[in-house]
This record gives sequence, C-alpha cells and structure tokens, in this order.
Amino acid sequence: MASANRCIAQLSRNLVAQPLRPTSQLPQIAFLSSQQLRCASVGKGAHSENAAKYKRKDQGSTQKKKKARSTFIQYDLRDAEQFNLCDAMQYIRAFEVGRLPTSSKYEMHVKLRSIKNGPAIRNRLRLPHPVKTDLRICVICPPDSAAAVQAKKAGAVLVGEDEVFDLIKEGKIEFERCICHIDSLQKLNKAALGRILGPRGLMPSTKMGTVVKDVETTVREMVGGSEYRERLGVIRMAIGQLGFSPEEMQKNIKAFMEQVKKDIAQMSDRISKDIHEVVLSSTNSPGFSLNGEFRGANSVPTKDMTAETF
Amino acid sequence: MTNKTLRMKLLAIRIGPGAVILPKDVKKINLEFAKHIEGGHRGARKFWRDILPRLKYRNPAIPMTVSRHDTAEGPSVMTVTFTTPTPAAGSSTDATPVELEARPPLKIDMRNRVESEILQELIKATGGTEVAPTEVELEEKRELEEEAEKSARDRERSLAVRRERKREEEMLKAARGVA
Repeated sequence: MASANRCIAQLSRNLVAQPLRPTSQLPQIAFLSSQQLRCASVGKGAHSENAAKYKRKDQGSTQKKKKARSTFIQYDLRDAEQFNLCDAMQYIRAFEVGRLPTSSKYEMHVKLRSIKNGPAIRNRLRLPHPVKTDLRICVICPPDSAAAVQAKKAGAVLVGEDEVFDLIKEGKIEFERCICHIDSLQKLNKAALGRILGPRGLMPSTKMGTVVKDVETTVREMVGGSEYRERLGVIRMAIGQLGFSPEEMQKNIKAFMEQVKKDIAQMSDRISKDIHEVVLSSTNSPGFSLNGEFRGANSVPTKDMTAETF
Repeated sequence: MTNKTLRMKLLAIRIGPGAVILPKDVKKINLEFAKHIEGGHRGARKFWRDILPRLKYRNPAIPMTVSRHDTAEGPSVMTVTFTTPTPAAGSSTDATPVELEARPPLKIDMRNRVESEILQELIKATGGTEVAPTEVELEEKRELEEEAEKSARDRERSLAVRRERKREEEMLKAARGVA
C-alpha cells in the first residue's frame, strides 16, 4: 500500500509540475517505469496481464542462473562405514591375495574441504618407511666442491657440471630427478638444456624447489621421498608397500598427515582448507574410509600381518 | 547406509565358499598354474580369484602366494606346507619320533577340476573349520538380495516405458513422413 501511496504522490507531483512544463500529460504517463505501472494496476484492483508476464520472466531467469558450485561435493560421513586401520588392512590384504607384493601398493586419499579455484597443496615428503627406493638422482654442481661430495654421500647417482651436460646432450638421461646447486644455475642455463629436460619435467627451477643451496638434505629427502599434490580436492599418494605391517603403516600415515596439516597451515590466512576424509585403498582393493583408530576390539593381532605372512 | 558396492564386496569376502579357518599347523599355501586357461587351468584361476580372498581374510597369518607360468602343460598344483610341531615339555618323553616329524607338504592337483572341488579337498586334507555366517551377515545378505530383486523389477519397468515411448515416436515420425 505504501508503494501505491508513493505512486499517487508522484502523480500529484506531476500534476503540480504540469503548469510549468509545456509538455502534455499523456507522454508522461508513457514514461512511467514498469514498477509504477504495476503499482497503478494494483491500485485499480485489476490483475493485469502485465504482472503475470513479469512474474514468469523472473522465474525463468532464476532457473537459468543456477550458480556453478565453487566447492567440491562433500558427502556426509555419518552415513559412511568407517574402519580402523587393522580391519582395513585385513580386508585389503585379502583383496590383494596372490599378487606380487612389489607390484601392488597401499594408497592414501585425503579429501579436503576447499574451493575449486583456490591454490592447491603440493609438496614432497620422506616417509619413515619409503615406498620405493630405486630413484636415481642427478645433481648439478661443481664436481670438486664440498656440495658434490655431500651429494654423492647422500645417494646421488650423477654429480658434476660439464660432463653431465654432455651426457644429457647425447641423450643419456639415466636419472629420474635433477637438482641444481645455486652456484651452477648460470652454467646450466647457458648449456641450454631446457629443450631436452623441460618436456621430461627434469629441468631444475626455483619454482619447483629443485634449485637449492643445501644439496645434501634435498637429495636425502628425495631418496625414498615421494611427491604429492592436491587434484580436484583430493591428495592421493602411495603410502606403503603391501608387505608393511600395521605399525609401519601407522608411522607412514602419521608422518603424511602431519605434513599435510603443516602444508595447510602454511597456506595464506584467507584460504581455509581442512581435512574431510581419509581413505586407505590399494591397487586392487576398494577404498576404506578410516576412522582414525589403530585397531578395534576384534581386530587381528598385528603380528599376523607382516611381510612374511603376506 | 550408503556405498552398496563396498558392502557387497565386503560381504562377499566375509561369507561364502572359502570362509574357512585353517588349523594352526598350516604354514604356507602356494598355488602354481598357467597364465592361460587352456589345459585345465581354469579351476585353479577361479580358486585364486573367488575363494582365496576369503581364505586369506579368515587366515591373515598364513602367507598365500600365487605363481603363474606360461606353459599349458606345466603343473597346476596347490602346495600346502606345515610347520614342525614343537613337542610339549611334559609329553616329550613318550612322544614317538614319528609324531615329531614335520608333515610332508600336501600337494593338491588342480588340473581339470572345479574350484569347489579343490576347496573341498583342501578342507578335508587340512581339517579346517568352516565359519558359519552370523545373523547380522545373513540379514545384510537378504537385504542386498531384496535390493537386487527390486532393481531388476525396476529395470524391466523402465525398459517397458522407454520401449513404448520409442514406439510412439517412431509412429509419429512415420505419420509425418507420409504427410
């Protein structure tokens, strides 16, 4: 009713203003906004077709505008069946029976509550019990420096500068990771190896964290270290060999979860991420949502689940 | 409850043929058969795929391995090895040396045999006890079966609807084509 009053007030104002203006009243009514027209119609007490038309249009536009989701779907975990670690491992070992212990791996999936277009977690860590140990690492640093000696000690396969560049140019790339010492970065860039190493993802860069001052610790972390990254709101990583005992798995999972929590804490304050669900699976088994407990009352004794009994 | 697939898979591992607890003196089980089923290796593979997971679930402490070779003429055997029974402290004097000897490894021929037969022979030879499904598990099984029945019914019903719709569309199309 208030709007109707306002409408009347405006009309009266128009009437008052009229003598000052040379224009006639008819076009002014034509210039009234749609809202005013609707008010007028309500005031008259008749349900005009106009109102119905606008209404339908509004509904149509809301249907079209259906917002794209900015977060990933989060399922309610109260409905999910969750397992303690030992039970999950007993099932997984049953699913993996008769497989080669070296070919199948335990996998960990950590589902995060995060937005779709935000920054993703990406890092690497060294598990207490490494999953694979045959990673070959190349270190580019002056061959007779202290860093070279340390790198070799830490387990690098190939250490050097010019001779390494020559080998790479010949196409002999016999390593899976490449690290560069900061002092050798200029030489590396001059050697123009980006063409060869780039497509393989081996080119050292500061962005990837493969250009470092302290070669020794990086190499040591890489030997037996594994990379992980968040994709579609989930971090997936191989967490253990099938022969691992529950205790070893527990250590690995703990280390991994702590690292992930640290990564989350390191992200800027504006972005809030937290862990929603932790799932353990393996190469040939379904996923088991973990409830965070090590073993339940009816679980199998842990000594029954070791590498010897696989 | 959600995640029907997981429930079905886990139930299939808990109950069914092969849910057997083997006696403690069974040390190791090894299956050896060919990679292809020609030459009577079908049953052996089925045994590994269908029954061995249940055995493993009930006997987590017994290592079970599978080794497969390329030749159809090669062996298709299950080897069960036993632990040496340790003599009890009190009865060591009157125990005969024959009893103390390790049981020779048991060999079960799996060539040209069905997996249920192989399982029967294994149970008979080792003396394992079958695990009866509990009430809860039976109830769950019944539920899942009911759901499967219902989905079969629904499938048929929606198929009929779709068929009818398609028929009508085709009739319309034909009518339009004539006109």
